[in-house]
Amino acid sequence: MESLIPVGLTDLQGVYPALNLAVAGIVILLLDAFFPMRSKLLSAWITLIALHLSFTCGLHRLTSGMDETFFHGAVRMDPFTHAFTVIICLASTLAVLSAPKYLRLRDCHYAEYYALILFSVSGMLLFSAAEELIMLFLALETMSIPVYCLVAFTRDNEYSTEASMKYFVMGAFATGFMVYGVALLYGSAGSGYFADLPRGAASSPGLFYSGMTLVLIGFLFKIAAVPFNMWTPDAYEGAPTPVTTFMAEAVKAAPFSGMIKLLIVAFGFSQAVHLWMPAFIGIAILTMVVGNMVALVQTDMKRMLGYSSIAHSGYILVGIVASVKLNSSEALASVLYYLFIYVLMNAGAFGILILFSHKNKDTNAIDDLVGLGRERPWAAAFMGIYTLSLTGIPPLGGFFGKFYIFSYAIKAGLTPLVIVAILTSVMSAFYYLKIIVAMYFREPSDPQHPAAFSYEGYSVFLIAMLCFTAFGVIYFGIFPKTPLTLARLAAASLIPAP
Amino acid sequence: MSYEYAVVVVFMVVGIGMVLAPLVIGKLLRPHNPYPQKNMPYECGKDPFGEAHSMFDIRLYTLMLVYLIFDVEFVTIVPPMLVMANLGVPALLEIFAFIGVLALGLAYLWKHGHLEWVKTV
Repeated sequence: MESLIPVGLTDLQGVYPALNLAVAGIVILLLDAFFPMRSKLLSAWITLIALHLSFTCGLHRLTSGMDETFFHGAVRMDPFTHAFTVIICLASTLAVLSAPKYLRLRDCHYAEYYALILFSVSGMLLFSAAEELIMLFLALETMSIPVYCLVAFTRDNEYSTEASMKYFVMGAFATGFMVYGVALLYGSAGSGYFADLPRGAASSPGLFYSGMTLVLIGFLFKIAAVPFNMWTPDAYEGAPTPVTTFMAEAVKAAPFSGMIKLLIVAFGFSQAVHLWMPAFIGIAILTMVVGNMVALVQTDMKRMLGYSSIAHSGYILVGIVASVKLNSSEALASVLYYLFIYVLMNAGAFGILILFSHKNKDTNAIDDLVGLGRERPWAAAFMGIYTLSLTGIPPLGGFFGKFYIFSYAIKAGLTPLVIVAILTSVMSAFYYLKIIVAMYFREPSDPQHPAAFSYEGYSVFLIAMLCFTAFGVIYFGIFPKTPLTLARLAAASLIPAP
Repeated sequence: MSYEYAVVVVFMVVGIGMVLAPLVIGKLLRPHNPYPQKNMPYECGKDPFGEAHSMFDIRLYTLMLVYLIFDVEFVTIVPPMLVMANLGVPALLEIFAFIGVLALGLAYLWKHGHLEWVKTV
């Protein structure tokens, strides 16, 4: 029997980007246990090097167009996966760069932080590579469980532990949906491989479609689409800010990879599309409207960015619906490009919050930023770039991301959806501009207030991260050619050109 | 009316009957002679004391977590054992690699003192 042939070395080489991270995580844990050091910067460096190796490996494989399957077809390393490897490793690198300063201030700079991040990222990379339901599920859990721990990382902080508990319960609930769906899909198709699943729709449609619904609900939980978004603001607000950065980027982007793959490979045939497409259009509209409306009234930046990330999920859903409807890899490439830019601008916005966080108090409220423009002009300028990009003002990256997605959506005949998207993104300008107004145009009522802008603790990592993201948002907005070419290369592996 | 499912009904009736019959027969035949020592819950040969719903030491929690990992490990390595003849040596090596990773976890716990009853902080 061929299926009994055990895993070989080639398989392990195939999943090198994920394996490398898991090994680095173990090395960090053991190094810290047996040779404890006061400064945990060694762990940070090992993490950065491991992420960098996976990043370059992904980039190299993407440009060389490697497309192979490993573990008897359970893992497929195609350009789409490589593109997500690149995006996720970049996002995690940004999150790791922002961490040391904040964790030192909170007296919880432990090596375990980096190990947990690495384990989670390793799960994410496998998640985007999974071509089999069990693999998909395992990778999803490998990705989620370390994040539950990370949210509670400042463990004497009650908000942090509360957020972790909520996130854990909600996440476990979503996982329940997912497992149930996986079981039904397996039952209907008799196989876990994505490519075999459509068979199940023909033989036992009832099982198949209920399974599909449950699995998709599990995914929508993870990407925080309305009405499955309840956990997002609480988890974002309570988590330590670097963890929020990690959650808002990597943990956000990764579920999209698995979802897009599943939607196109397993649920891409026309009967299934006719079922999930209307539901997705409805959910996209709800997500954009609710996310943006609720963000309007937030006074806490982390919470506001949480709702804004819900809204951005909505825009990305528009892009997914459009690319499936058009069956065009170009449209899917716009989704990848959007995720890439989203990672950059969101990381920057959280980075500014970390820059001004203090030993006993975070600088999270919008009112805390009053007068920043005069006290710290550079930081304010960077924050301005990120918020304007999140709003979608040309010539910044955020504008082109939205522009590409919306133009493909119009091409796909989804004009009503695009009208909602544009209206809500105009609405989003209101709350993003509130930050700029606070920074530049409001007088601080309390003369002692500018003291909040002193840097307590200083991190070269954080400064590097801010400079890189600000540069990236501008540069890749004006010259989108490189990321777009790579994204097209990636998308073409999933949707072959007609 | 379909008689195809009759076999299910028969199966259920016989199944329930097979459980009930010995209980009823035993009840009729056995001598009834209770005394306090006999009614005591069995606790591995020791006399139980206190309430069953008592508080446990929180430190047991850590040990329980550690135990759980190796419990699951056992469950995970039994299925490959059954087909080891077909899988060959590489599978054995894989199992050892798996145990090795878990053992590293144990080393981590040990070094951090989580296995000590009184942890030195």
